[in-house]
Amino acid sequence: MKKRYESPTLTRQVGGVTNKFGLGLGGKAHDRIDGVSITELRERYGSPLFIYSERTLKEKHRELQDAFSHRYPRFRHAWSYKTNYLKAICRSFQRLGSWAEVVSMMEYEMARSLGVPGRQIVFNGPYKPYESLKRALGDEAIVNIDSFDELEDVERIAGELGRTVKIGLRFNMSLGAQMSWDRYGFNLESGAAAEAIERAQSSGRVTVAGYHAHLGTFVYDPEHYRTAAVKLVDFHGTMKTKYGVRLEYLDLGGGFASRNRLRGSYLSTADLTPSFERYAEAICEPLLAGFAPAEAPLLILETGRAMVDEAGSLVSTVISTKRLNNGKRGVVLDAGVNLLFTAFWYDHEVLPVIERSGPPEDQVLYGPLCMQIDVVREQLRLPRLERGDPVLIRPVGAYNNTQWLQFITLRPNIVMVGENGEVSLIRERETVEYLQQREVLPPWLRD
Amino acid sequence: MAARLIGEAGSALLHSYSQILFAESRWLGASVALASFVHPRHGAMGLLGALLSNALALALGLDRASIRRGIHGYNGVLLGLALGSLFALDPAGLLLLAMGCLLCVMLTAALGYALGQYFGLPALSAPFTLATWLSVLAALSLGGLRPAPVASSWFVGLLPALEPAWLWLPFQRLAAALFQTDAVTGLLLAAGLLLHSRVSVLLMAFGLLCAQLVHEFIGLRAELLEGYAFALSSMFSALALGGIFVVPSRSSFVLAGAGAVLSVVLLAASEAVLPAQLLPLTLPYTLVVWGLLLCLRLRGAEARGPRVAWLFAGSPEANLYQAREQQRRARVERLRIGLPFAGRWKVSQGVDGAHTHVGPWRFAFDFQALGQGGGLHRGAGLAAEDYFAFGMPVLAPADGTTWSCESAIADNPVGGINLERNWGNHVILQHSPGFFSCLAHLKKGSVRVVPGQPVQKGQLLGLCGNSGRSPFPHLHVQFQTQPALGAPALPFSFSDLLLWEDAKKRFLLEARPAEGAVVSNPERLAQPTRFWPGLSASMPGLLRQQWALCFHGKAETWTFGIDPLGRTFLESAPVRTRLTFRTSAEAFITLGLDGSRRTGLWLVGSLLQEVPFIDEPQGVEWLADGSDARMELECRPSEVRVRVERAPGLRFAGLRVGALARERYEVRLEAGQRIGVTRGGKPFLMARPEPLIVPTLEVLAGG
Repeated sequence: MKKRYESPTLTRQVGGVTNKFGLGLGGKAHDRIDGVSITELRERYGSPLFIYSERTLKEKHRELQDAFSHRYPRFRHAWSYKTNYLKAICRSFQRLGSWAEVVSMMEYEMARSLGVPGRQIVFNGPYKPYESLKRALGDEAIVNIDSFDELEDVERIAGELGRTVKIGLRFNMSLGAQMSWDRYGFNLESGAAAEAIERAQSSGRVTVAGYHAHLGTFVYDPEHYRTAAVKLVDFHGTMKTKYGVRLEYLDLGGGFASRNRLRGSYLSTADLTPSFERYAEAICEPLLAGFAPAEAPLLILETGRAMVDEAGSLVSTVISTKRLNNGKRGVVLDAGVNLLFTAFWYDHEVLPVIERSGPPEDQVLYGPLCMQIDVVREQLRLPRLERGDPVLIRPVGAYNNTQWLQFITLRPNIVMVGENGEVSLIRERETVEYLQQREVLPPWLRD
Repeated sequence: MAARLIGEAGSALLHSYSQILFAESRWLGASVALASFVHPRHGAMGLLGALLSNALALALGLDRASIRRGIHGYNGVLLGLALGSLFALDPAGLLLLAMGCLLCVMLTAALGYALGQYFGLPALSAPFTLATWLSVLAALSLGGLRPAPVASSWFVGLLPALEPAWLWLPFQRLAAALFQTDAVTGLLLAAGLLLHSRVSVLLMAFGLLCAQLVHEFIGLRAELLEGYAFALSSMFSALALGGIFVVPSRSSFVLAGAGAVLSVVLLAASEAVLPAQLLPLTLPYTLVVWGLLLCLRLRGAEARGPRVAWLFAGSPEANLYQAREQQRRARVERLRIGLPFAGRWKVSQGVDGAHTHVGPWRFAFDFQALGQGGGLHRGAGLAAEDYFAFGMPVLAPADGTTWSCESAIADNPVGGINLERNWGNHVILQHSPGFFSCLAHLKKGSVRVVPGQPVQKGQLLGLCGNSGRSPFPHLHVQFQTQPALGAPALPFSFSDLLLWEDAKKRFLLEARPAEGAVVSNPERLAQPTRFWPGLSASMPGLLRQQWALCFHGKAETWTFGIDPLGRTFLESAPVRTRLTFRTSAEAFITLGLDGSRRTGLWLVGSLLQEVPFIDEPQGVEWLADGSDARMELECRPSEVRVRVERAPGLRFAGLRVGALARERYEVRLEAGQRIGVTRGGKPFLMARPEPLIVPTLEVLAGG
């Protein structure tokens, strides 16, 4: 077989002291995902291509269950649909026993269409239009209320439904140095939370059954969760005595960090990302100590990113290369921020699929869009990438398939590699027809 | 007033007769009395004996309630019958009878107290035997007594010759209970007993059969066989040991047979020992029953086989029902021991385990946390932290107080053991006086409780570790009667647990999980009592609810009530069935079901023996204790579905003797709205709550 031509490189050697950063990553190829050849997948399904590993998904789910199920008697994971609402992913979590967590009517309908019963759906978010709220409460979903206005809506709906409705309330609080987002929910310290409970409990038609406290996203320090748990336990002690609140569930949201590296972060993800065990210790210890055994509420977690990020990878092909003015090598891929929205704040891992043996070189990875912001990696040390080389970008499972753009490109195929090695297409590549399906030409513009 | 006295006297008299057969039934007493009068002289003496002994007991000021029950009279009846067969009915004889009755009453009171107090044994008819002996012995010196004339019965000449003889033999034998030999007596007795308790008849026949077989096998002397004592001993031993003082069951029947045989052997022995004037009477039977009962009472707590009936309920059948209800109530009221951890753990060493659960520490369990993938540790398991169990919370198995604890012993590396402080870090809890639990091998520095601190079931005690004689992180659980560390372990069972078998989850009300079993605590429903009729959790006070349904074409209503003992029940009308139940936070349990078996309430009550309130929307299978019905339970917050598959049995006096084809029922309890039963998939019964209708008076117009 004819060998590919590799151009010689001229590297300046500094004699004496060796380069303390070493040679960096060699050209080790990452050709397989769960035993399936990426090259084969690329040939069959084209490029770019999203690949999901069911095995990784299940492993992560098991890890979460292991960490929490032994530390607290009543625990439930609710899959955060906004992180990835591909049917196959949602169904996988449903099969594993997770409930569903949605923040919009669209996601609510998705969950219901997958057969998730109303009682297993957690409905959060600041925007709950009246009809969607009514539907959710009618289905006996777990609804966490965000504002006094929403509470008013709930009271009206209770009247319309003709029965008492159970709701949860979302809280935000100070977490020491950091403040959990105060635009969502009722604040604990200011007394708004107590006011909300008083109002709900005294309305006669509404019962408060749960508390919801989603602290933030990509929370690196598990101690924030401990602080939140302790505060909520204290708060409930007061609420129980004053307003007779019987707590059925406590939802501590999501926010666990995944093994993705934030831009500007220096340490490797292995050092930074806490394990599920550490989060579990921080959350379960205060809850177990703070609630009497008979009153211990159900602990719900909406872990999204940490569950699915590592399960998703993206295979992309180098379209062209150029030498930039500052001497760096620029590489254009067929996948950019249109498919990797999270590239705005992450430095994804980019790995070569085909073996390359040259010395690593500084390269910049651009996407296919003709926009300045379309940069996948500002800096990457890899053996020189040439036109046609496939690269593996990961982890991309979280938020990319929900926040991807339809700007000037059609979204590509998505496949899932099952635990048994079977590969299946879970979302077909889009066509222009599909894109323009909903459009109608006004009468005066038609032929 | 006079009428009441006469009524009570009549009761006492009739009960004296029925107590011969261990019953307290006036009808049975009447039939026994009638049977005794087949030989009028005997009958008259028996009656006099009863009257005299009851009168003497009353005169002596003994407890009226027990006189009314016939306890002080039955020995008198037997004495009258015995003396009546020996002596003539003349003033001298009557005087002897009177003195004998006084003796009887004295002995009944004294022996009854002494035996009951010190040995827990009944007096039986020992007073009668002793009184008869003393009377007979006295009569030897008293010359004024004439022997009894040959017994004549009214029926001689009235009935055709009784052929074939062997058919009437059992009745002749039965007549021995009243010291007579007429088949007619036996017939009357059998008729009365058959109406009262079929199991009694069965037991007596069985005892007789066993004794007869012994005779066929060993060969007794003919006189012995023909005498009263043979039939008397065997029948009454069998009855007493088979159903009266022991709860009827298969093993009690074996015991009855053994007792009958033993009493015959003792009879043969006593013939050799006793002087000619003293008939063995009921001595062999009394001794056999005392001996065997005493043995049964002295057994350990874990003994299987016949169960002693601590309170005689009136008949063997009643004993059986009462024993079942007591068992169910005991289970409800007993301490329910939960698994002391969260999530799924595996039993790494069970009762009689191979490594350390031997000898005094047989009844202990070792648990290790199980990962979702089925392993006990992450990765290679080289460090203690890699084990899923390490650092996991250990919870209190039941309410109690902390007795002692230890928290300073270092955890071993994987594979290491500490033989000096082999229990490691531990917590000992006291649940009640003489009932302690010990949870051992905890993590260093993790014990959260201090001695004297009260703990609730499920409260955090410490973290699982690897201290003491522990090569791999695990939790050791045992119960003991003494608080010292290392005290011998007590047998116990865990209550309300889920057993995870490959595909299915099974709910067990009580279990001792075997080695290798994967178990967890079930998740509880938040508000369980909403769906069962009765006191509504949200309505304070006693707002009664009535349920209406149509069953087999007839209208039926169920009303909720509370009885004087504080037990909640549902009662059906117009045909009366009462379902006594108890609802706790953990389960709904049927305590008792009596009345007509033809109502819808009976059907629902017999299907829903126990319903645990656990959160299992996917369904879980369980076997209610002591039942052969297969049940599956699906629990949701607003609906509980119970699927029951059972074979209705042919029952004879409470004991199963056969089975019909299996039936499948499904009971749906919907949050205070409906109770529905389908049979084989088709709707069978539907009960709905009725709003309480206050009746209004309608004035009819016109006239």
